[in-house]
Amino acid sequence: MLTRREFLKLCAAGASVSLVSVLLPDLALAAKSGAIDKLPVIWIELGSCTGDSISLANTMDPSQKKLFSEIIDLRYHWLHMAAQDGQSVKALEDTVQRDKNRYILVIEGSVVTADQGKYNYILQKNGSLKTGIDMLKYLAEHARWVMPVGSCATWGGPAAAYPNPAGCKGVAEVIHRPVINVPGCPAHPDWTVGTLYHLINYGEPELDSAYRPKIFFGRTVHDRCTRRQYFENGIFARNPGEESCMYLLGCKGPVTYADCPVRQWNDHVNWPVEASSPCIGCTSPEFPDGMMPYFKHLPDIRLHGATAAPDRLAKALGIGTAVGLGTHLAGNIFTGRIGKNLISGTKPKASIVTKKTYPAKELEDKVDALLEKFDNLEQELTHARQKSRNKKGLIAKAKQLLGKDSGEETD
Amino acid sequence: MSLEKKLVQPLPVRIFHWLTATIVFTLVLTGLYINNPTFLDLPLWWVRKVHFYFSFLFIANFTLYTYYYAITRKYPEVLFMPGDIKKMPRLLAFEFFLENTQPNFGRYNPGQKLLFTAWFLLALVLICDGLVLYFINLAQNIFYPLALVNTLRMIIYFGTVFFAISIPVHIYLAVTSDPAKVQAMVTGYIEQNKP
Amino acid sequence: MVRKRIFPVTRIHEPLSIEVEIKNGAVTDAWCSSMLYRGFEQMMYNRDPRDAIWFTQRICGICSSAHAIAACYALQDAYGVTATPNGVLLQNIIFGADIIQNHLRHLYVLVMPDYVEGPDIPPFNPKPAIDYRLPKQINDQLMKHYWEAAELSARAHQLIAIFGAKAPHQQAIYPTGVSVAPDAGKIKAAQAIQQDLYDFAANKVQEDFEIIAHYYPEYLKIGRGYGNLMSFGMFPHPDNSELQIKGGLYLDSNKKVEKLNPKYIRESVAAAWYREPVSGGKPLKETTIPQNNKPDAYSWTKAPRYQDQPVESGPLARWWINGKYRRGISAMDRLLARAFELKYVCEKVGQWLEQLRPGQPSIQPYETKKEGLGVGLTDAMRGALGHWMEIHEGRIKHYQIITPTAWNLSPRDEKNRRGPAEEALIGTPVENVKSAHEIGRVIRSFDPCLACAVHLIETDKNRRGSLVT
Repeated sequence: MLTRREFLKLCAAGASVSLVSVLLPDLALAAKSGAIDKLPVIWIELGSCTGDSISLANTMDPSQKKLFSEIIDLRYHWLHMAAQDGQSVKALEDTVQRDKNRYILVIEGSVVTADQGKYNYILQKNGSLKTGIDMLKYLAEHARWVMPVGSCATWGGPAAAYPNPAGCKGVAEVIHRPVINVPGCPAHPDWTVGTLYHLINYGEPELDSAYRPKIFFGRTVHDRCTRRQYFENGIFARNPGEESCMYLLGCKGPVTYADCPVRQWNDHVNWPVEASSPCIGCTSPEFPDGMMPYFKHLPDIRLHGATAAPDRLAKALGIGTAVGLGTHLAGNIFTGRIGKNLISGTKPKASIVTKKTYPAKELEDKVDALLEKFDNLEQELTHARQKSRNKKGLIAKAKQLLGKDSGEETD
Repeated sequence: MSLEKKLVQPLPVRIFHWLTATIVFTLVLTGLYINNPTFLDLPLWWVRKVHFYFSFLFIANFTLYTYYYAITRKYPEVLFMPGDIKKMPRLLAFEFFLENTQPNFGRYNPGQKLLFTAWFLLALVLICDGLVLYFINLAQNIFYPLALVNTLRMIIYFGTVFFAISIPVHIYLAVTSDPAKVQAMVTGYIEQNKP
Repeated sequence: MVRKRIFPVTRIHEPLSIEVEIKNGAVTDAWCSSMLYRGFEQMMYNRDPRDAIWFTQRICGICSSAHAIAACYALQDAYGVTATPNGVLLQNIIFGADIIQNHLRHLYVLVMPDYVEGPDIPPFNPKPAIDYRLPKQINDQLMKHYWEAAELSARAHQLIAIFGAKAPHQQAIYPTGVSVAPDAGKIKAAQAIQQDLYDFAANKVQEDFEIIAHYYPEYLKIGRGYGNLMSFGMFPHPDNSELQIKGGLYLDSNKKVEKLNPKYIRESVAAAWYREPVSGGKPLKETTIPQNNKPDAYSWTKAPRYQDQPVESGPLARWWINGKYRRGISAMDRLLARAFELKYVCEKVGQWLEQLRPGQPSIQPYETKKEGLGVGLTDAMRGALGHWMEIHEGRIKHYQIITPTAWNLSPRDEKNRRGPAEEALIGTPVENVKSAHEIGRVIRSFDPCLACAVHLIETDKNRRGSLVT
């Protein structure tokens, strides 16, 4: 068996060795000797396009056959399983019951949350329909590992693109437990199979802050790009199909973590930049809204239905400022202020720093002081008036009372 | 009337100011070039190296600049303080030609202080942002928002745009409304009439 | 009488629930419900039109290049550009290879477990209670082909990757061609893969399905449906852009192939969970609002109709209209027509590869336009696919897709007419109500892909007409 360190090295190498091809003899041997634990895998599809399953089926080393028969026990996957309807649901339920806390839950597609998830039912159990989100929560509770595969499952992906009509979300936003994200649109079979293999044999791989295995998503596309030299030399393609750097065509390689340049797609055949097309950043949490338009660096800014391109916004800001300054300059010239300032601006004038030497200020202060005094006096006056009024009132009242009293007495 | 020389901009301030000006100018130019390298056909690695060197210079200069104002306790003279809000209407009245005489606010007027404060805060954001983009293969491991690299790139872009827009405003207003102070940023002194 | 819901119907793409009414051992009524809504067309609003090609293909993972091609045609229409001859060939090759991939996966990975007993491992375990009729030797042979097909379909995707960067979701198709320049090395590699595919398609696939048809002969009669067939045609010729597989319409009522006019396409939401569109004389104003608690509705798919007729599309429709396959219309015929098409496309891809001219441009720069209307019609793996787009101020103002599965698995319309697949289910004998695998067989013959079908937007009907013409 390979050690974990050797395995990591293999994964990171990517370029020269296909991921699992070297493992195969090992695997077959281990499977025979019973050394490998064929872990049960439940693969559910929520709001997806099936692309990640198709991509998984594109696995070359190991082949689909080897994958199913030697590496994993694919207990539930509605694209592959022979059973249907109740029988398939029973297979799912059996796995949950028998292999509690042992199975790997793979999720493909984003979690549809709008209207309590009613936009997406995935199966019926005992005659009642189950929504994707309910099944996900139920299955995740008993899973040993939860592994969202593809950009939809990891962070919502294309299904959650603005305005996100179905309220799609990534798995980690819905369930409250750690996940191992394998993003990509679709996820490269090596990423999926490699992560499964790591889980089965070495436990959880080292993850970055977005829960992506570092062995596959540890460095940017740009860092290992096959056309990096064109970038450094400033030779840029202006149109797709030109054989140089795709940077000006909005390549998201510099902001995307993936090993596409060395791993390449479909068993080392090609990859987007080598096909003279820009990278679209599909393994990023910001995909697709933060990566669209595909042919520009910076994403559109979307606010309540209004959309603005950043470069145009910047241009508008620049023009606005220029117009503002121009208007101000015109005002300056019109009022003659500018002439005064420029001609006599550097000539010495009254001191500006200290307070004392500023006569107007002194006067102002004096006036202020006087005004304050005046205010005080006025206040005192009103106060005195009030008092005297009160006194007068009291006297009048007393007199009245006395008068009344005396009257009574006289009666 | 006799003349007196008044020191408004001590030597360290002048050095910091012109260093910052050069660095920011270079950073904005190289930054915008990296964003859109469609003219001049410069080797991009060269532009990027310049950008990176000046970024680190900027960080050093910014730290010392901040330190200087912190120990001299003069930061209320350059940063927008709560008391400055009351002074704003008079400044605006002058700038919009409603009032003809320029009010005297001392070293800097509240508008300038507002701009400096915005630059100070933005510089802090951009330094962090730039460091993340520079150490791009490490930063994603620290905490989640740092993995949203295109958003960070957007922030740094609009920060640059803000500098690119506000610096001309700063220069224009300084030159047209109070050239004496511009002079002071070179010589350090302002000449004024003795009381 | 028994009413039964089958959910999930496995070995198709995305959630499909089928409800059937069974009387005297045969289906008397059926309801197909798709159980997922994502709303892709709403997402297209206000995006860069050039993004449509790579964004809409993410609707579907198995037929991604079909959406790319349809969006590409729509863009070509809107921008008034055409692809270079090499570009047309490469687009055809990418599309063709994806069709090969799809048909191999469908025929073997998805359909075969209905007729052939798999090995004793998951996902073939648990085994359905099916009357497997093949002798062991033949069964093993077909199972061997199953794995072979699984591997070859991955190889077909490699062929796409050579010219299309990666698969699924290729990344090289543009309105004016394909960004990969063909050279001898690439052509050679592609030809090697194409030869493998052709050998398998010519020597094994048709034979395998003849064998299955031989052992399960009743499926040549089960699952007929309306017998209305439609195709948009596909694969433009690089020189004159004439379609190499012709489009057309075949209605059961007059039994002849007519020309198709997309003007007569409309969609009904009578039984779909969407609010009835309000036209009010304001075209393009109305978008679909999901309405989950709508009475009588049972699906997220809308019901497209051609001249108010439910029509079926797919390989059988294509080859029936082109006159190359007229054996009959049934569940098994759909599979046989698909097997026939597989060989045809393999052969065609080989021809296109030979026609490629290294050194000639495979793509050319083009001008985008601020305003424009575009329609992209093509047949996809499963049938007729259309993309409609309107560009306003350089952004997408309106986008509309009608997918093959929307045609095939549509629910009822206002006149309460069943969709083609629902109709095809009528009369299907059901031996064991519990497993009801016969229903699965009939449904799978349509190769349903609900991922595609369930995201449709209804706009004003008049507008649709004006968009198309």
